[in-house]
Amino acid sequence: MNLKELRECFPLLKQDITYFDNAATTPTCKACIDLTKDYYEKDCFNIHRGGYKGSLRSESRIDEGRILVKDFINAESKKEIIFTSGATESLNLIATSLFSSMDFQGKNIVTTEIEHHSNYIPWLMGETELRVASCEIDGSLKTKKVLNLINNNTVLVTISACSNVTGDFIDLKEIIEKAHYEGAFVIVDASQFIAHKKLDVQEIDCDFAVFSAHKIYGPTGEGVLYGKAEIMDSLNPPKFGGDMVSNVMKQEWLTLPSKFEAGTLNLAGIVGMAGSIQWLNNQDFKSLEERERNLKSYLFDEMSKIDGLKMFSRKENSAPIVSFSMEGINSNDIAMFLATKDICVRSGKLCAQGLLTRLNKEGLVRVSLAFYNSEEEIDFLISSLKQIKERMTKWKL
Amino acid sequence: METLISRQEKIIKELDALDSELKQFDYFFNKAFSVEEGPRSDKYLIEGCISRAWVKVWSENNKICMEVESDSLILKGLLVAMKEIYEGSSFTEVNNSEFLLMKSVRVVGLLDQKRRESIEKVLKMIKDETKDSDRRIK
Repeated sequence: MNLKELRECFPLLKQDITYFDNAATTPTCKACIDLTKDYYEKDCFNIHRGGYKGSLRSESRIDEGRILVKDFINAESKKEIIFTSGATESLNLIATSLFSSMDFQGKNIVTTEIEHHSNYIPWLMGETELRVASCEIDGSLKTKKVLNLINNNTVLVTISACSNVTGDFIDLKEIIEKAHYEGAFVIVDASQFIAHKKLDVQEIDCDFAVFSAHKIYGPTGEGVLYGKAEIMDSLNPPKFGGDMVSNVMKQEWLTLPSKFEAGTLNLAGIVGMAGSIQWLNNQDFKSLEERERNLKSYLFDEMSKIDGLKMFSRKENSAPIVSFSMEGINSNDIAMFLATKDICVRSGKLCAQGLLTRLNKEGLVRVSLAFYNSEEEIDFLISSLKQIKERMTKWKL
Repeated sequence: METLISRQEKIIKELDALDSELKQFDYFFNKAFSVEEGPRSDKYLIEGCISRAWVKVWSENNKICMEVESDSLILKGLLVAMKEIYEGSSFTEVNNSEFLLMKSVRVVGLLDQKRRESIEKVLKMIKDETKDSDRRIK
């Protein structure tokens, strides 16, 4: 597919905007929209509880979605795929479940300063020691610092596979090996990673993984919690209600995945997510990766030429995310100036106060690219950044 | 004679005359640079604001006084506009008026929910000052 054809897969991009906020939400692909519409028009019936044809068709589409997700992340079994409202809910569910199922007395949980708030705050809710691996003053994370915190009292290591601020891919192999050696579980927050790299949960051997559909060109309000079946089987359910219980009086729960899916799921969201995954499966993922790598490289080089602009991202081994500050200009003012030109970026603390504190920054501007972006769009951003710098000089005089 | 209403109308007229978001952006920036630096004390920090903002409201002779500051110049510009509207106003004027400026603001970044909430907080501080002073007088 050429660039024009690629962009046509995303109706939102017909608007006259330069969209660089993909790390927050990617534009929904047409395949997702079409499937969701089709589901609402033909098969939107409740599942499991209806003995009628429509209910069975709906159930079948949800089952297909679960299998697609299983294959997408190479899980061993479809029962390891729990549908949630997004990565935040996935992390909260597993935190609630772990805290109610295990003894954390005298134990510790290891995480890092690069985490998004959704993979930090839930772990403050337990009465256990939270060990936080600090990152460097450039925002990078040294594996050794995480390894040093893991010991035989560690019950859980919870870590992002890719920073939502710097875009750095985190080398998880050694961390997971050490955690398992010490008998700890590992949760991988794949929210940023999964849009840019293939996630293979069996290969990396994580115990849990989470992600949101709206970061892979799917619908908002839909996400996934992956958990190894033998572990999930042993945990208490985090939510209670219909469709997860086998005997109410005895408080016996259904088997996976139902045990973790109380109430009616976001069925249309699951169908939509399946659409976006199918769309991604139909692409040459390697070439999309290469496009993103080249775009980031170009962005990085062009930004390097602007005096007073400091990047907190690296060119290599990272997602196409660049966070930066400009000397003497507030990050929100930069974002608001870019918004006057319909350039969409993120600014502020980026839901990562821990990392921003380490960087000694009140806020940053984040430009997050996707494969459908172009060098022309980057040129427009760069010229706009130069403009705000010139205007700032003028205003100050 | 200048009143709260006439001062607000003047700023609204100026904003409405600016036919692009970019021109309003410049307008608020100029306003930010038109005043001295305000107090950056935690005591005056507006909690929950996306950009840090500090607002001090007090009264002298039953008239509102204000000092404003923000890390964001564009937000500071908006706060300066509020200061221009409310400063020197009597409690009666404050309590009998409506804040209408936001209807003329085109800078999209100033219109999101969190910033609107911050502006609401500042308005509440101004209104509260009229009540607190009433209490102090009684």
